[in-house]
Amino acid sequence: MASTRLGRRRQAAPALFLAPFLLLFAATLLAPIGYAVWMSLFREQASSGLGFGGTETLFVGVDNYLRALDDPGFRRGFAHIALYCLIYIPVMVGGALTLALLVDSALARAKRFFQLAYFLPHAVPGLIAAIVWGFLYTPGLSPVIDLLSVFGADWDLLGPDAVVFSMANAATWQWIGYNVVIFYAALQAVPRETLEASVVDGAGELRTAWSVKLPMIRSSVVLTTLFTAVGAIQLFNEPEVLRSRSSAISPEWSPVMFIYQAAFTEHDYGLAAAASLLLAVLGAVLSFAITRLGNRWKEA
Amino acid sequence: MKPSSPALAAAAACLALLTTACGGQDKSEAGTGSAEQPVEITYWSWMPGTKEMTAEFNRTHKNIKVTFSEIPAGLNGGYDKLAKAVKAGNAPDVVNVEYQALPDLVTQGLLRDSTAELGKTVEGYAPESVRGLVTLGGKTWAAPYDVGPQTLYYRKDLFEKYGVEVPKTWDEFASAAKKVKSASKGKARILDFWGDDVATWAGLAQQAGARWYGASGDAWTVNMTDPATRKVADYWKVLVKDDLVLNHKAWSPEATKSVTDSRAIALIGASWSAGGIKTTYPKQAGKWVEAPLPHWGTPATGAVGGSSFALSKDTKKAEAAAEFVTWATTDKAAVESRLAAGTSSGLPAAEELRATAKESFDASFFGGQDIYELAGSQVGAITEGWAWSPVHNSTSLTVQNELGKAQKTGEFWPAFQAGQRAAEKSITDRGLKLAE
Repeated sequence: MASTRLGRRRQAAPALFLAPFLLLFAATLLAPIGYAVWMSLFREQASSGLGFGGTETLFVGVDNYLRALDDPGFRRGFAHIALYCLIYIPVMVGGALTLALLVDSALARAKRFFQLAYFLPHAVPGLIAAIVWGFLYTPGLSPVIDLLSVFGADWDLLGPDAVVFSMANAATWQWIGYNVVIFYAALQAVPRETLEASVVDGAGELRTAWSVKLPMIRSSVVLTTLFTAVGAIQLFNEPEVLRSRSSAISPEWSPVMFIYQAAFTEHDYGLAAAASLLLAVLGAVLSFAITRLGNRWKEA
Repeated sequence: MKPSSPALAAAAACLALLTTACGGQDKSEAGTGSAEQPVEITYWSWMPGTKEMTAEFNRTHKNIKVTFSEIPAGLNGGYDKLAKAVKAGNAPDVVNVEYQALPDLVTQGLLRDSTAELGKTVEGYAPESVRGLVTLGGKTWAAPYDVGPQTLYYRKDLFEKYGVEVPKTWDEFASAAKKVKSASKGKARILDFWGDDVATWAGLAQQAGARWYGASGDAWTVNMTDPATRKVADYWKVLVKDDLVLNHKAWSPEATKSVTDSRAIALIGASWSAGGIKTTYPKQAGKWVEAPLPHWGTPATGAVGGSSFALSKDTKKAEAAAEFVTWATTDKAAVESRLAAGTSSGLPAAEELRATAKESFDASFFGGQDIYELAGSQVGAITEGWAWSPVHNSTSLTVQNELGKAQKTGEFWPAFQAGQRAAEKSITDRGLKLAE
């Protein structure tokens, strides 16, 4: 008897501890995803030629997925994001790593101040940051552009060639401090004995950073790259805000903007749901790939 | 160990709770109420002066109580909020809808066919140019509140300083543009054109005789690439390319700055722009004047913007809602209370209300000019037969983006070709019929 009661208790205890998480997980993640899958199988169509008789909902199977994949606007969005990632990820991860190593260096002064200064931009809400950068990029309003033009440089930071860089710049400004903090925390965990050993072995600051510190915080680097990449494919704030200042950004510039337009101006919720799920799958594949590559690097 | 089953059961129970919570109340209240048992109706809007107007209605009506909630402006989220509310069964009884968005909302099935409740009233007071905009498929879907004939606003002091007459035609406007540039030694331009503003273009195209959308039998026609639109696009191309007008993004800080700095000395607007100009450029009080829009030879103008009152799809209180709507669109007290707030300068669609509107709006900013008389005189000049379509909201995004690319070159025409393609695609995508 006693043993079965204990067994039941053993069964109940983990369930009890897991329940809050599972409940929230189900209600805020699984249920919406399930609903999105359901929505993606239907399409709302006008029930008459002029449409004044309202709409009817039709089951269309995978048609919404095919339509999303077939849409040049959606596909261009991925090309835009790929270009953006190519610029943004190396700058972000490389930059954050450099700053963190500098702050962590034995030669650094005023460490507290720099930590705070790097992190401060992250305290500005993303939308506000995008609006502020929008002003800084606009000729006639921006002191930066005015200054550049004094020296004869006529830069159009919102033009078709420059706008991706401008966006990456705004996002880097916003997020670099956050990543610096992650790297810096990881660097703090590097055992001091190891660092002392490297000094005893005659390694300089640069050599220590490259050959000792960096390999020891690999997992943070992989994690940060993963978060940065997943964040980048969901790019929305910066292009959506800069769109009102730059005609180089179309309303469907990024995949999330495409989804937003499909849902809220075209009222095509089926297409929006299908496109969202496709984007989520890409995110999952990307995460998997980065983790795999990261593991190989860790083992190397 | 099976931790999942109790958790799953709890999750299911939680979901069930959530879904039942979403089901709205289903209480039917007919009639227009009485002082003892007033009918309560809800009303969503973002229009300036609405709060004051609703308060006035509640003060003077004991049988109906209106609860007003402010929502984001139409395309900025208001219409979307309405769409969700209708789906969830908790939509308001009355909502404001801009004319250009009305067909979109009707085809989404968000509004009620109010022919029975409002048809006669609308026929009684609304001029043809706006009645056409709320009558779709032979049914009345909303009651027009205001009408926005396109007009020209200009700086009287600077027109005098640069020796320019107020242009009556677009030819005169082009000569005046050259004169302003030379007389100011290149410092000022006659206009900040707002070349990416689709609403402005729609008005200009309408004036020139274009009809971008129409219904032909049970199918939609799209005609953004007609000769009239082409004529307008070519005209502005020259002015922009030759640097005779500024061309900033509409509603942008740069555009505001050019007017503040007196580098642009006129604006193309509509009757309702007066309130905005007054609040945006307070230091230029007494210097602005409103004039009829220049034309192509015979006086004509287009209509820009304007809003209507509609009943939502599932309102259970249509009769009371219609009484409120009728009051809001045709009663003097409604206009007085709305305009007294000082932020709105909309021209009421009902002609009898324009005298009241004039008294309620402080026009000292315009040197005491009777801007209601001026705007009212332009209502008759609005070319007839213009219609919006269910896909205009999405089409205008494409057109706006493409127009923006012509900011320096003035190559506006491709934007309308892109708009034509976008509109045709949207129509078929939504299961509507496109005329062959």
